[in-house]
Amino acid sequence: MKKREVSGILAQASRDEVGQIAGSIKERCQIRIVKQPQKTLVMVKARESIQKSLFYLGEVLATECMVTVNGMKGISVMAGDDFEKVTDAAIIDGFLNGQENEKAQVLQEIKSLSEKQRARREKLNKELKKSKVNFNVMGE
Amino acid sequence: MAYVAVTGGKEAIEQSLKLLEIFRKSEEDLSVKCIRENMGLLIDKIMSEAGFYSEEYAALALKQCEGSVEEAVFLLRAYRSTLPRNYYSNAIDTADMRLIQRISAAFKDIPGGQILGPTYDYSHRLLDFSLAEESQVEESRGEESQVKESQAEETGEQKETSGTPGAEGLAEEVSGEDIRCQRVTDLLKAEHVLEDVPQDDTPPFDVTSNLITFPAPRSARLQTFARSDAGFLGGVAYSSMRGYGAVHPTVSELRCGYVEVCVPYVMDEGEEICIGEILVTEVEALVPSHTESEEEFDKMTLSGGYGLIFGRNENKAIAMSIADASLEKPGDTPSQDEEFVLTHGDCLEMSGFISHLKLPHYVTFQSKLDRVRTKEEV
Repeated sequence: MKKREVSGILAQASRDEVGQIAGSIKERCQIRIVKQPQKTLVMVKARESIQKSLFYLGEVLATECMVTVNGMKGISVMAGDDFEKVTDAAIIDGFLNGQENEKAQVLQEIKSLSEKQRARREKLNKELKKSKVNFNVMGE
Repeated sequence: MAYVAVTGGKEAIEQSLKLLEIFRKSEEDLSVKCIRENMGLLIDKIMSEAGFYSEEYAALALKQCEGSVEEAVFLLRAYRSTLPRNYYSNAIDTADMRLIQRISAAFKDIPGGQILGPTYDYSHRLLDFSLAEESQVEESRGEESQVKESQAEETGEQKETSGTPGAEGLAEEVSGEDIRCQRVTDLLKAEHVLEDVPQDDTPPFDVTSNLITFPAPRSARLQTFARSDAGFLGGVAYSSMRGYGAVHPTVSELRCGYVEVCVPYVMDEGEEICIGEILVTEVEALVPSHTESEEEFDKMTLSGGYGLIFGRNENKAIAMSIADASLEKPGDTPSQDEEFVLTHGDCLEMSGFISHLKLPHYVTFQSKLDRVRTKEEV
């Protein structure tokens, strides 16, 4: 799993869900906060599709944190202002940066979170697809 | 122009601020969560005009200022200025948007189909008095049934078909997969009726950190439009379509949905991390690139205007695409005047400048008065 996928799943998850995964890591690893969680802005860059040039769309409120897990650095940046969640996500990142043989279980937990998120979106997606429209041109 | 400062009024100002609190309070207080969940389009408008994406803080700002859009934008801009900006995202990929709406006014049939999504376009605009009777009890009942439905789904229980499926009677099973579609303009580019230009990686101009000068780079123009007051931008676009301009486009595609925002992973530049999803509306509008005169007919292809904004706001995104296309066409109308369009649409600047007229102008007015009196004497 790439960092982008893991972080995307954790960003969509609730504080409790992320906390649950980080909880087991906290029990067995030594955690040190390198950079306390703090708010930051993320400037969103976009590429417009007509002339394919870049521009700044605006800023997103985010929170960042850096920790070490058994000496391995872990970082998280997440939209919103949830200090607890971003700290737990940084702990998960630090854990995944080391501990080769114990990563599988954590990745499995993250994968099942992703499945849950997909299932939650299914209901809305079905409702959206029901508004698919096919206008008829009169006379054709 | 010279300014003369005034002093005093401390007690009156303090009392005025206290009165704001008195006027804001009501018997039934609204929670920030309630505002966020019930006033989604207003929240989107504020985030877009503030250039600051945070649904919670936009709702909080609205609560604080009795629902005034200008004040809420002011509060968010002021708050945003206290935060460090430690990250710039990688370019978001709107082609991979998780769609909730997708419309093309140019083509009836587009690959992936058209999805009306949540829109008021086809509603009857009749006041729904039943909403006035909607009670908390009914709301909680609604929540209960929603929970039961989702629980049933999680346990795999099959539910009877609820209501008729879709406007077009989709008889087949509707899948719950995310909706992602290629752009309509990709098809036109393949046909060479719309020019497919190479990617331009020029670093964008940032209007929040630099003073804009004219002619402005395209990036400054688009950033300014994305933050513009929706009403102003709508007025500019409307004027262009009514004859005070040269652009009356066809919306090739309007799409609204969620895009992931990713930043580089600082410990490995080859990796990126996703900070979450944001809701955006995007519009590509098409206009002929040349006039239909005999001399220019051979050169005619399609060109376009582009709109992308925070949140769900179809009209603002369309207006942005028209304003963008207008500035590409030479002419003397207001919508084609770059300096006019880019310097008068900022919600905070315009409301601040108009609002300042309420402040004491005793000295400047006395000066005007003196001149009028002198003229009378002469």
